[in-house]
Order: sequence, then C-alpha cells, then structure tokens
Amino acid sequence: MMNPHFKLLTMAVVLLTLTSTCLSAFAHEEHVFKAPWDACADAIKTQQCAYTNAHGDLFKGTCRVFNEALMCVRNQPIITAEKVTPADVAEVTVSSHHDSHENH
Amino acid sequence: MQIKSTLGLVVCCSLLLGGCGTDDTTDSVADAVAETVTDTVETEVEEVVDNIVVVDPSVFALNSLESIEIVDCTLSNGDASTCYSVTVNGFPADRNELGPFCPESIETTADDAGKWFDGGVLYDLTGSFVSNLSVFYGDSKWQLYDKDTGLVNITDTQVACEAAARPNVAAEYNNFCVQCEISYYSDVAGEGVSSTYLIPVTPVLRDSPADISSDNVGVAFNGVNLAVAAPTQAILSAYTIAAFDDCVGHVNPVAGYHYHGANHGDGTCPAIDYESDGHGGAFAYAMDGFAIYSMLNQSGEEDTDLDECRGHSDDSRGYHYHAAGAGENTFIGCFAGEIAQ
Repeated sequence: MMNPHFKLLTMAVVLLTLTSTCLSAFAHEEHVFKAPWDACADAIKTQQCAYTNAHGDLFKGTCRVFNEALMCVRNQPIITAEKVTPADVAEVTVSSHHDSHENH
Repeated sequence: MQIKSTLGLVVCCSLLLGGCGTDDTTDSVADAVAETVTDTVETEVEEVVDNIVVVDPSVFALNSLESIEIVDCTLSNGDASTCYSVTVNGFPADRNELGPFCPESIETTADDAGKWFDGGVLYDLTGSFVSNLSVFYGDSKWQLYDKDTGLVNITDTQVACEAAARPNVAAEYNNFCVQCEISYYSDVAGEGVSSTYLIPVTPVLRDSPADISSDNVGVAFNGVNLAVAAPTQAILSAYTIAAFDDCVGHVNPVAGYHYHGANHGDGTCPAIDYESDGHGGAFAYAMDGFAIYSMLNQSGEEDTDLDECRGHSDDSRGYHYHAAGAGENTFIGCFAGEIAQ
C-alpha cells in the first residue's frame, strides 16, 4: 500500500504539472494582459480554457476566434480567488484533454 | 402565437439631428423625427417561436438614428432574407459628451480619468495607475509621464492620435496615453462617425457558431458600435495605453466612438434598466439579430448555462446573449446566428 504522504506528494506534483501546462496564464502574472490569448496558445477552437487575472480570480470558458486569433472567452461565472479550489483547476485540466474538438 | 403590429420606421436625415446630444434639444429632435416618417412598414412582432424573437427596431434611440429601413439581404448561409439597414450617427444617444479618457497628471483621480482593462479587470486609469505602470507590467520601460512635472503624455492633436492609434505605433509616441477626440471626425457637435449595420429582421440560428471575423460585433441601442477585441498586445508593446472612458469606449479614426466592453451604471456611464422579472437589461443587437443583455441579473448573479458564444435561451426572450465583464475585452464569444453578408 502506498505511503499516504507519498500519495499526497504525487498528487500535488501532478496537479502542479497540469496547472503549469494547461493554465499557462497562472505563471505569467506580469503579463496578464495576454492571459486570454495565452490560455488558448496551444489549444484549438472550442477547446475549454481558463486563466487567472492579477487578483487570482479564475475565468473559465472556451477558445474562440477573433480576427484569426484564439482567445479564451469566459462562459461560466468568475470564481473569485478565495473560492478557487483544486477541483476547479482539475476540471479545466480534464476538459482540455478530453473535449471533442471542432476545427474549422 | 403572433402579435401583429404596425411599426412606424423613421427615415430621417442627419440635418434634423443637428442638435442631438443635449437635454434641451432631445424633445424637439424626437418631434422632428416623428414628423419625418417617410416610410412605414408592417412588421410582424412575434413572441418567442422556436427560440427566436424578431428584431425590434423601436429600441434604437431616435436621436442616434440617421435612417432605418428594411432591405433585401443575403445571410451567411446563402439564404435570401430581409434585414434592417440601420444607420446611426455614432454618438451615444444617452450622453452629452465623451470621456474623460487619459488622466492629465499623476495626481488625477478616478472622477477625472477613464479606464483601462487588463486580464479581465477594468481599472480606473488614474494618475496613480499611470505612475505605477512599470510595476504593473513588470517592465521598467514604462514612463507615461514627465518625471519633473508629473504631467501625462497625451496625444492631444489629430496627428498625434492617428500616429499612435494605428497598429504600428510611431516611435515618437511610445509611452503616450492615446486619446482621439470625436471632433476630429465630426463637424457637428453631438454626432460621431456615421455607420450602417445590416441586421437580419428574423434571426436564424446556425448549426454551429460562427467566428467573429469582422470589425463589428453589433450596435448598441444608443447608436454606438460594439467592436471586436482591442489589440491590447500591440497597444502595450508600444508602451501606449488606448484609454477608455467609463463606458469602455474610445475614439479611433475609422470607427469613431466605439465600445470594447459593457460597463453600464459605473461612473459617468448610464445604467440600463433590468427587465421586470429581474433579468439583465438589453442594450444592443449583435450582427446576427440576437439581443445582448447585461452580464448580471438584478440580484448580481450571472447565468451558469451560457454557451461558448455567451448565449442561452429562456421562455421570455428566446435565444439571447449576455455581455462579458467590462474588463474582458469582448462582449460575446461568437455568432450563434447567421449574419448578413
């Protein structure tokens, strides 16, 4: 049976890794103005996306095209920083990997 | 069920609207417009049928209109249809003046300054905000004001505004707060840059949403253009701030005064009424003919079932959109309906 501490550590590492790759805007708060675009930098149209603002509020939405550039358009209520949970992050991460994609 | 009514559509010329924009003249302008009804069409105003509500031309403010008429049009799916051709004078019918935009100095407070947005947040563009830009953006090259006088560098001529408002900002206007006056592009006080919008009389839902590839997202009932996302990356890379006023609008040489967000009821930006059931109020039509409502309902809540275009349906309003937050640099995510070609 896995050591509970090791299991917790593993989960934390996985979560941090996914967060850093899928929620790229998290790591670039000094460039938050690009966050809606960065959130879709490695995505395709209609893919789920998320980014945070300078206050840490979480914006979850869908990548859509504006003048040929993908931008994350929020379609769920803003989750304020104090209410953001790991589950919110995980939900976005899972969605970004399993959504069926439209690409036209 | 259908309710038929006859709507008088006015066709008026800008000469009759010469006094628009002041409280004193609003009534007389409305009277003048009413007297110049030159075209009356019978339009079917329908309740919600298959999630569709026909466009209501009477919601447009009379003193923003130059003309409105029904014309033949072809939709993006190739179908022949009819559209409203709405020509507006481009100046917000519910205001007497635009701005303020840039703060004059690093001492200027929010009452005398406009707005800037970043990462979904709308900020007061105060002198303090301007003086802190190098920290805010983590780049020491930001220096938007004179260190000796505290005065903010503002594009205060038409030449300067046009040199700084273009995508490739002239180098001498790096580190400027950019503002263009509407008077550069309109000789008549209370008028802006005239624009015509083709909006389907009866919206047609698409099988899959369409990208917003044109410059126009829609037109507000007060006659102001709803523009696509502002190119903030280009703006900021030149160390400029394209200041907005409290309504998240600003002037450029092409579109005149236009919005990049919805911020009703804040500062000098007029509020819009909620619907009788507490639903957010409508303030614009998207180019596909679906109405755009405010983001929040009367209880301050946002709907949780919005689609990727930020639209959904209910029994009273059919399919409709809700605007994104004032600092999100967009109104809607896509067009759920066909637009006129």
